[in-house]
Amino acid sequence: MNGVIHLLRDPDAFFECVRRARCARAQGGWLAILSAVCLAVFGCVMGLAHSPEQALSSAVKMPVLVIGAGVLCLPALYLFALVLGTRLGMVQVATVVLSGVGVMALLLLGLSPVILTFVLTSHSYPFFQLLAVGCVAVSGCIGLYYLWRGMERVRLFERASAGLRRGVMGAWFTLYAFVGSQIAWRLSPFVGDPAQPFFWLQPSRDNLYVDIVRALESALGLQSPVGSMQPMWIGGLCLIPLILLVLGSGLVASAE
Amino acid sequence: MSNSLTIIPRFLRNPAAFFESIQCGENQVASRSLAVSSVLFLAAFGFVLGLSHSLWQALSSAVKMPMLFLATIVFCLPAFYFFSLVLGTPLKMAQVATIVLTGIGVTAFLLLGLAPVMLFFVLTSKSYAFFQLLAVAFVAISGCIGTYFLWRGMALTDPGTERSSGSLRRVLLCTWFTLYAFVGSQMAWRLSPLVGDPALPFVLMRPSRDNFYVDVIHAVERAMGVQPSTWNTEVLPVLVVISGMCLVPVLLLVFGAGIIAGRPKPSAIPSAPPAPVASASGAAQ
Repeated sequence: MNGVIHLLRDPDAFFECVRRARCARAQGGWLAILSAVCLAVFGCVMGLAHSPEQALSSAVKMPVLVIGAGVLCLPALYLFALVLGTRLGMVQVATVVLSGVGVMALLLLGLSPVILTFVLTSHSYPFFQLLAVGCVAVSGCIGLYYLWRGMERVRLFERASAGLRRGVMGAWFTLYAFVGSQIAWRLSPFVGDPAQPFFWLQPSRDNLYVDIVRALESALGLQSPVGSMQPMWIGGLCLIPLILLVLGSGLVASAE
Repeated sequence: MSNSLTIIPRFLRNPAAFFESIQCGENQVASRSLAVSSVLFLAAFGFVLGLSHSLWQALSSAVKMPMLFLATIVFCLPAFYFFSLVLGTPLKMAQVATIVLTGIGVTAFLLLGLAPVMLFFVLTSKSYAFFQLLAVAFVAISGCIGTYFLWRGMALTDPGTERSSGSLRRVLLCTWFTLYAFVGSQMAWRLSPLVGDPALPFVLMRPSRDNFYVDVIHAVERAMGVQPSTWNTEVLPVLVVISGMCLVPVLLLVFGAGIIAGRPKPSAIPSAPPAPVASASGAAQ
């Protein structure tokens, strides 16, 4: 807990320490463990609405989702950083990413009792889904802010101009959101549907963006011919809110 | 015991001294006394509320009112503490808990003061709708005044820098208010009835009550003559994901603005963190 509290109380000192490689390995380790535990607790509470098996399954899936997406995107980040002149090692870069994940996980741990209230007193499945998405969105935004600040503070893209830095960070966050949303879609269900029995993974789920397009089509009553490119275009348009988000976060964070 | 009953009047006479003691970390006795006094005062108000129906309702509301307020605090406190950390407070969890309990203590004290007024109407009138409205109005007024003391508590224990302190407190207050209202309304909904309906027999809890927000939406739909929404299991998960994605930019702007406005600017001298400097200057005086 100390690492994250230290990070929250004095983020600049924390990132300075990581930049000088004095504490990256130790802090990174603690952040990874703490994040996994906090996310497991949040997943457990989410799944409790359905059954104990769902609670256990979500407790395993949440850390896999968040940390797994970070691990998958880390090589890309390190590559960007090397090209743009960083003097940091892989462990330091991983610690910076874990700092954002850690803040998000801690806030989700804090919001778990709020979700638990509704789990204990209510049975509305759509409400739980919306509440879970809302909590993850809020915590994710704040984690994103710390991650952005960390990247700036450790001078991850030293040789890049301010505009290019913002662009690369924004692109990496988009990648993280892209990978993370697909992992979340495939790892569903997190909040179990009370009408259905418990199972580990929903086999009908395939690709988030294609499924969004198909759902919109069925909601609007349209039919697209099999194999047309239309779903791809519309799926691409769905990425625009995501891109706006990351650019917005960059503008907000760099406005300091 | 006498300490518990007198702690709120003592606090109201000199809030600054009380909050200074919280800032110095002397808050365990205060927390316990505040909790005990809140339970007693809220139980008294709940008893009077339920008396309009029957003695059983009075006893049940006397148990439910403290449970409602204090259970809501227990569920909201971790989230509030972690959000406060993010927004830059130097306080510890125990200090934040004491400050929050102060706000609830003042609310409970005011409700105790308004209980005789409630009792007067219980004894001289039989209008169920009026009782409900009166109860809601009293809780709302006392809640607002309690929140004012929460604001003052944060101001007195967490001075911050001149530039950021006002907006930081504002964001913290909004966060606490949102969390408490969100969880508290669901708790109150599920713990109903607090004022018993005279047309119905006494019942401990209404089983038909489920989720406050869903029930409000259904009630609005019924009032407007719209069909209650049926949740299509194919489309719903996707709609949830899309609404989440659209929610994210809005939330980001709100919280990002709050964080940017609330955080003190990082000092130009990187070596010495602010806290030891403040305590050193305090020791030197």
